[in-house]
Amino acid sequence: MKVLAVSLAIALPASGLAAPASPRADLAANVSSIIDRFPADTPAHRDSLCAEILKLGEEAVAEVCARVVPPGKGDDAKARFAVNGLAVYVTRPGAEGERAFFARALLESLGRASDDQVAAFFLSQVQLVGRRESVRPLEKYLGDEKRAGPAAAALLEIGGPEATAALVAAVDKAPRDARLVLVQSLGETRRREAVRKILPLADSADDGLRQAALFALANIGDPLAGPVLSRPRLAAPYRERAQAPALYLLYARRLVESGRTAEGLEAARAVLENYRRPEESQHASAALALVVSALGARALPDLLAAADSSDRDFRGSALMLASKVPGSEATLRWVEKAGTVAPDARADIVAMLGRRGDAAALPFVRESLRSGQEPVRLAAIPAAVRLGAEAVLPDLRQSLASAGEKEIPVLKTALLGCPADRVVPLIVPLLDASPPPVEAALVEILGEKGARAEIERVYRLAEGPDAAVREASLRALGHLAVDADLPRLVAMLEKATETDQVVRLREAIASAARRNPDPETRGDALLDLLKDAAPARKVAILQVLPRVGGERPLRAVVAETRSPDPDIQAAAVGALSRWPEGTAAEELLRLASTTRSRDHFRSAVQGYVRLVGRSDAPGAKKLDALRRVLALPGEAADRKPVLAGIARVREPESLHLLARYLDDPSLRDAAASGLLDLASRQDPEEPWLSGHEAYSVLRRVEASLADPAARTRAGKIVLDRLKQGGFLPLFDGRSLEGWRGLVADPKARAKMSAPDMARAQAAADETMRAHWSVVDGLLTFDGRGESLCTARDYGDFELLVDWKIEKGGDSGLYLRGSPQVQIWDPDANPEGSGGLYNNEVGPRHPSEKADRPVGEWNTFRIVMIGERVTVYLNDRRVVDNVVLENYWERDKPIYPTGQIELQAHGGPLWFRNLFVREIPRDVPGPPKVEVGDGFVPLFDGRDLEGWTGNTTGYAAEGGRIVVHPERAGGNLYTTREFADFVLRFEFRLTPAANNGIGIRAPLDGDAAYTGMEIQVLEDGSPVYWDLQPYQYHGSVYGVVPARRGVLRPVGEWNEEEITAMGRHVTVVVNGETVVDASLDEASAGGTIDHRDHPGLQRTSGHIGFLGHGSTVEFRNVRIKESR
Amino acid sequence: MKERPTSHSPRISRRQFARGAAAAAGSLMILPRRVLGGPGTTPPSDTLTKAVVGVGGMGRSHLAYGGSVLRAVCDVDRGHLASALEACGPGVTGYHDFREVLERPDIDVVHIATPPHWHALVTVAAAEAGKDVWCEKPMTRTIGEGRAVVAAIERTGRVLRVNTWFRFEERFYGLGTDVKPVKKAVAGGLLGWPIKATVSASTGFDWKFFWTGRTSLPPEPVPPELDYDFWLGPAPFKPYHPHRVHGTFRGYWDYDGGGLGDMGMHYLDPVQYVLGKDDTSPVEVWADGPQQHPDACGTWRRIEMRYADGCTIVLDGEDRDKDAPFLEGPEGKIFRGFRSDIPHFEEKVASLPDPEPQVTDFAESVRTRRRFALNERNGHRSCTLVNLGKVAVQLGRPLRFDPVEQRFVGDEEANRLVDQPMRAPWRLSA
Repeated sequence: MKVLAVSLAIALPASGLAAPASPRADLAANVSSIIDRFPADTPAHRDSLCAEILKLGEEAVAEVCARVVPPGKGDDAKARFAVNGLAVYVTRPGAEGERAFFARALLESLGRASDDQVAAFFLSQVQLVGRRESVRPLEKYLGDEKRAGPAAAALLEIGGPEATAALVAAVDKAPRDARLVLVQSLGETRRREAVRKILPLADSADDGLRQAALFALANIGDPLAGPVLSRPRLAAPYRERAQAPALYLLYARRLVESGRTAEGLEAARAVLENYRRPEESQHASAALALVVSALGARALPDLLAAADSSDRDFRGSALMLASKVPGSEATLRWVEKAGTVAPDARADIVAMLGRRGDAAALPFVRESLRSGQEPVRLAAIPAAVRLGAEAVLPDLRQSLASAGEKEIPVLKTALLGCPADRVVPLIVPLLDASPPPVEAALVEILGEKGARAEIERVYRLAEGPDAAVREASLRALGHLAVDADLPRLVAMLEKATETDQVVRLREAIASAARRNPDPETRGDALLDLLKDAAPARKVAILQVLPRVGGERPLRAVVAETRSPDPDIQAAAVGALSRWPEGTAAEELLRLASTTRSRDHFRSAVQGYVRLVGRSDAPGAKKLDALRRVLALPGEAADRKPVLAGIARVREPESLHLLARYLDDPSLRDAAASGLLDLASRQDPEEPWLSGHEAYSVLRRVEASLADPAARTRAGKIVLDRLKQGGFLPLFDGRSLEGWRGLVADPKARAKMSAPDMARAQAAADETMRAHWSVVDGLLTFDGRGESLCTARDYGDFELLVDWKIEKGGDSGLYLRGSPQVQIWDPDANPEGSGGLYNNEVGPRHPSEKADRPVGEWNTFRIVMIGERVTVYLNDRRVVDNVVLENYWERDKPIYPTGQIELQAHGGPLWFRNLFVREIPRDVPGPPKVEVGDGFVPLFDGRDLEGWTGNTTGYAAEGGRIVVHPERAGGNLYTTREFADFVLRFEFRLTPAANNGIGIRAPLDGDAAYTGMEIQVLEDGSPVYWDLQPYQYHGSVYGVVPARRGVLRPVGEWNEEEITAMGRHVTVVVNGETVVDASLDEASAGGTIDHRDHPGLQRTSGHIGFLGHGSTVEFRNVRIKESR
Repeated sequence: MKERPTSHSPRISRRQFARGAAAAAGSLMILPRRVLGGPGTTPPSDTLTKAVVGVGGMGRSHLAYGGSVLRAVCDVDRGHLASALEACGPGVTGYHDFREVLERPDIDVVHIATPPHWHALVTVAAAEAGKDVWCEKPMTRTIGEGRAVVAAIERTGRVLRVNTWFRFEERFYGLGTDVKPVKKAVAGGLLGWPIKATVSASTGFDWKFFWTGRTSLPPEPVPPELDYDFWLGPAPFKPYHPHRVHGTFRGYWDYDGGGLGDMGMHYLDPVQYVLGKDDTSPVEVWADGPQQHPDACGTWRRIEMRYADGCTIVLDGEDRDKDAPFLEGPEGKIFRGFRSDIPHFEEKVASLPDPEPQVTDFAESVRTRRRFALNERNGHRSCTLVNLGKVAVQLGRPLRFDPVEQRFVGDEEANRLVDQPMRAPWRLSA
């Protein structure tokens, strides 16, 4: 009721009538105008909106809260933004008065909330703003099973003795689930006064309650609970027994925290003694941690004792905890300990001493570098560097001399951790004196440390006898070389024969060239070498250039693609195809269109596709670029990479493009695998992947696959996409689950009593099982028996089904229990299938014959919204939005809901791929008014006042403007003209619907040309597959193309905003900008449809709905003019 | 009221479901040795064994992570569970309830790839059951849960790895360079101090702003394969809608925190590492953006955080400054691709000492009981950056933070977002 009052209060002044408004309506209108500005764009704006609400007083807050509705009952996002905004606003520092005021108002609204979810929302806000004074009002919700949880959460955040008292007081009376919440929450409060209330529950026979009680007692940590917690019940479930030590330790920890150290320690030691076995040593570790936290330095003996453990987990814990007892004295005790334990433990202690960072351990760690045990030595190396830094370098030199396989990398890491000026002088003398593996490590260190002064040594080693040393040296050269080294490196590359060597040298050359800091001259040194070089050298350099990149190198490579030497040419083409920068794309396209070599064509195409894919261009631009390659002449098979490239552009257009190649034998496989890649996942913003175009294309892909495993994968992808699009399977491929036998017609059924119905249904199900069955995954009918019905009723829906008949076969689909969408043998019935056979007033035959020959599968897509039905047969629209007449009761319209039936009509039938998507019926949301932002309604929701033109074909119905094309054709225009404006509206389409929004239009002529038409079109429909982008929904028709794929599924409401400001037009559909263009730029040099659009020059005109013979609905049409 | 018919998706209560699942798994369940009795346990073999909890999106990648043998998978969606079991072949048991997985003594490591609202609960339970943990990012959904995880891991002496790797992996994210030389340059003082780090598309980190939630979701029937009540677990009960779960859960505060919540650790952890802030947190945080819905995460424009020593991190969601360096100090800048305005930058960096070596092999970390490169401590600190950002975005007012107490200073409501009560019977012992 309130909502209605609001809408009138707003709508009346806007339509120019003065109406006396009551104070109540005034407040509601004021609140509406504020709420409508939520969500605020900035925190400051939010704060000012919230301040406005608070200024209006308590009633205003209540009014805001009253706009919060249960989930599914409408769009209350703005109200929730407002309530939460208030909660945030009033808790800013220094606003205690406002906070208390809002908390009180919130609690009052909570008291009025009849829905649990609305109450939960208010409670979650009390959780944010409540303080002590909110405790009492929250008490009454603690006994409620649904509300106790959020209420207790609010009390927990409020905290304090009052909150605890409230929780305690509620325990006895609360029902079981609420009591569980209360006990758990009392545990979280950690307040002692709750203990006596919880203790008896620790012996409860209810597992959940008992476990909550035990946790609460442990977490509070009162000695009263000691006996209960120390004896885990043998009869308890395993999980409870397994958790007993952790709970007991929690209890012990709380005791220590509250100063009862002795009691806590006693409990911890009990666990430490009893849980030592490897699989439960985490409890011993936790106990040890508690001992350390209680005793501090006095826990050292416990830690040292733990280091004796053979369990590495437990020992590891002890060594981690060792850091809690700092000081050199403790360090020396650990050193002493290390001498007494097994090598593994000793290594662990050495590592710990390193982490500890106490130099007192350095002598011991240094000594450990020479240990006879490898694990100890390995631990000692990083530890020594940490403790002694560069001072231990001489020790490491010694270690290097005798280093084993495992020590070399550890030593290398340690040396890299020192500065170059210390390390390089240390290792250079060792280079010639070390065994090859050590030498390899050392030369790599030279490289990584940038020791350019030593490059001659590195060159020498790069030509040495040992392969590992050579490889390491080449890697080092990559770090050290600069432009000046290029001639030498290129000469080495020319001579190199081993693959590894070639790879490393190329990398070294590229690194050297890239090291030039000036992007202008980068690569010049290589290009100098390229000039007048012998062919072998040219090839070698060309192969490196793509790793350098740059403008001049690119030009050099392009020039060499015209070399008369075939080897040089091939190397240049290869280089171009691997070019790192997008600047090469045009060259590659040119190469592809001029070359006569098929190999070069393929390389060029691959390179081009790669560069296009990597560019930052929007999807549509990438597709344009890829289309250019598709247009080139040449072997079809060479275009496979292009199809793969298209599949990586996630645009609806890609689906469409790829689908075209499913009929091309040489590209079918590439198209199919591209389509499957594209469809193998779907992001939320890609509804087009679960639309019917995708469905139809993917089914074709599936059918084209020979491999059964690939077909199964394709089938699964189709299923996933359908599911994401809201389709549910009607048939599981295994059973008749979800189906029933037919019991009479809807009229007769309505008269049957429940017991009669049940009996009849049982009998019908029996008959069903005799004649309908699942054979090879197909729903199969043996030709005798009765029709098959869905177990439940459907209202508005989209239905997909494949069917097959034999010669002379006959069947049909009953919608809402009523005949029928016809299926029959097209040879005997030349009209074909799909018609609404039983219609007497409206058309009963399909508009064309789209059947496949008898014995092949046919696919129906049937959309039923309200009383109208649209049928696609094999992707051809054969019935267009026709009223299905009521066969059973001719004087009535079709029933609002009913079963879907597969008609038995003699002769066997086969069905498969049955899916249904239910279309939610229109649920009116709160009225859209943007008074504060200057929007005014263009349509008052009741009649067509302010509109002119075809007022017969357009009607005001239930707050919507509905197009009835069967009544009259023509356009509906505003009586007024508008120049610059923002127009907002919502619209709902029927399958393949076509309409348009005329703007700046005169009242005569074709508005698409004499004014402008912003296209309105269900452009996902299969009948529009070959549309041009300038015809997509949202396009400025014929002038500015739009992006497709943003419309919601047919039958759902879409939102649109059209902004025309001077020469600029933007169109936003469902929050996505699909058009953002300057009319001058778009029409410079002629429009894309090559038509004359004089209307583009107009500066103002009427706004109109341009009818194109389809049913479409509009609502919430509103406008803001710019003056 | 229009009730949507549900005969196609009979709702199974959690209790019924659990009973059914337990009965089905009963014959296969391996009881802990303590229950069976008998001689001592077998010594740990060299091969680690793992279980993956949550095998929907990210969880599928965890099945294949190396270094251990998969023994068990767990999911509250029967569809996910079945397809994971199909993918991983024989020798792997499926579970509905992660607590049954934790009862298996033959599992060493538990991988957690559930939505973030479960991370802390499963991690703490795993630690208390003696398991080591490999947890998806973000480590935890709130700062309070992060503290509980740190405490539980350290108390029980377990090893934890958070699944982001850009502090040690080569070519981290979009920066286009190894992290090691960046760390060397900063630690070696080439940029001077303090440093401002900018995380934006131009510096290589594009915030995933399309991961937002939807408002006013109408309730829908719960699909029969999903145990929705278990999926929600500690989160407040809200009626089912497919957008809340599976993949799109990222858009809701109850389970995650949008692009910032879900991707933030990837972007911010290397920054924290490079700045050497692994043991502290910022003292100020400030956010600019549109108002946030209490349920659905939205976008933001800019978040700034400042450490006590003046280092700042800027999260630039709009990519306003296309020329911004990734790191900027008084003496020099580092841009995307390791470009710098410092002369002879590369040579200078090369000659500096390498950073402290990190343990980057998780299996090694488990065997040697040494902290993994990204562990509970530094992982909690970098997840705190994410969670600080989330709170600042939700409240839209400047906040001060105490990095020692890990509480906001002088803002009680902000602290209520640090610790958020869980829905019974789920609880976390801090």
